[in-house]
Amino acid sequence: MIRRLLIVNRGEIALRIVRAARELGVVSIVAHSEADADTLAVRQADEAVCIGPAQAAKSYLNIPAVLNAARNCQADAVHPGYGFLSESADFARAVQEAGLIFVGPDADIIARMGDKASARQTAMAAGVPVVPGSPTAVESLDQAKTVAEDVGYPLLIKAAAGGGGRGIRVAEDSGMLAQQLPQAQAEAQAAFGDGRVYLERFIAQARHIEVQVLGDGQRAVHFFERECSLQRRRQKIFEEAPSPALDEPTRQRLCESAVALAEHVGYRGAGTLEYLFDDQTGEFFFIEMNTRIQVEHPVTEMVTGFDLVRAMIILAGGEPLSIAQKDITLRGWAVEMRINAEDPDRNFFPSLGTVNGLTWPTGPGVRVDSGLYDGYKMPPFYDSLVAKLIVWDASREQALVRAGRALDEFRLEGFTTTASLHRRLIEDANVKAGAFDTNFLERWLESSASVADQHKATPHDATVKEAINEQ
Amino acid sequence: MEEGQQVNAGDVIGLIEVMKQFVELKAETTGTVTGFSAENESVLEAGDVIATLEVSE
Repeated sequence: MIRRLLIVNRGEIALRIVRAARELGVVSIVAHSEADADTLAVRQADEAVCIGPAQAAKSYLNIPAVLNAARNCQADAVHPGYGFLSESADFARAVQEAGLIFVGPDADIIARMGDKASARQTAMAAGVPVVPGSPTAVESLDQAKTVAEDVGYPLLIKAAAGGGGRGIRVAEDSGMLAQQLPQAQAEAQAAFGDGRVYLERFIAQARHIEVQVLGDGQRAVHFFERECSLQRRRQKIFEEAPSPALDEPTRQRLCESAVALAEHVGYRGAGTLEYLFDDQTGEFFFIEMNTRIQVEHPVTEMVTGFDLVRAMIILAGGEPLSIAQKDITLRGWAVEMRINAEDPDRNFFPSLGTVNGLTWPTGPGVRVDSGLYDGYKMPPFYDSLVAKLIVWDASREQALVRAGRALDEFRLEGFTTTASLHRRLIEDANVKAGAFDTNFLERWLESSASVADQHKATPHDATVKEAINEQ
Repeated sequence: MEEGQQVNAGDVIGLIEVMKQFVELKAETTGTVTGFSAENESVLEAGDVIATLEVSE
């Protein structure tokens, strides 16, 4: 059982963990940087300890400083939140070696699932589908053509040593494959000093769907899926649960595959398995696992009624799972809108300032997770996420209407946020229909540039709303 | 970028990190950089002078 929990994070997630600790009767201690001494998490926590200067490398990422703070304040457990050290196997190991509980899975599971190649191998061993492709690098054109017959076109030719979108070519048919393969190999050799390439199916229109799991090291349960396809530059902007794309049999197969993989590795704590979902074929493919709590966990809490952060603290304390799969059911629909301190009308330019007037939306079905308060001066050193507006209602259609009502109640003076983007987004016909893929939002942002221009020219809200409605 | 270096309008003379985004700082006019007032990797407030530029005639 955990008595004194050191929270090594900041912003809304530090506050979220403080709240869970309070409800469990656990003493919360927030480890913060010099720039974060006045955050709401620090104010709400039972205790706080400064671990270093503003720069994250010297504080939130500084393992010796964190361990030193944990010793000094006699913590018996460490919660890493998300980002920062949350997926560092080295940190998890150091915490365990210091005789403390790491609120998350064991270090070797973090390492195993954090490496894409070993996560893919593990998924295949657990019988979970991965994006079809060549099992190893292809040597010859004949070998590539044999693989292509199995996998199907269009294909991606990927440099084994590439990454981050570099060293990738597309082949639409066998003619293009014959032409592109030698070029891709030569290019990979020149760019990465390693000419090995492998083949993978190209999924042109994919959704990003992920499954939430909890495990106790033996048994695992799922909390259904989240749809996170609305992204900009691979950053999620708007998430929902459940996904509008899945029918019941597919949902069940997807979620059962996640449980199978979690149990295969003996997973302990909260985790998320990310999948690509192909709308055209109804197939899903495991891509990676996040071995921590995620930003968008509240939508799952809203539709299942379970508190995931409390659960992960209890599991870390050594308790077995107290619930069975049949106890977890879906009720209604939830959406999360990430409120970032960025100006959506100026290409998401960072918008800094001091909160000078703040009204949160309230009322039925509305939840706000945020560290903002009136008078708070935002430091420039960290992520731009300042609030999450989460809305629940009985149906997806009603949840989007309620989201609009909540956004209309929200007032923040002092800097610009992405709230106006969400107000426009939820009025879009495709968003209302749930018809989107991972490229939708960037296309939409380009096409809706005219709306942003009108916004600049006419600062009156009513005029802008009319203009949006005419779109 | 060094002191005494010639720059053209639009040249990137530095990067400013704000909330994990890197923003390009561009020269507004053509000229010569006569000095930097801000240290590399130091913290800036809005309105701080970063560099001084002598405008070419």
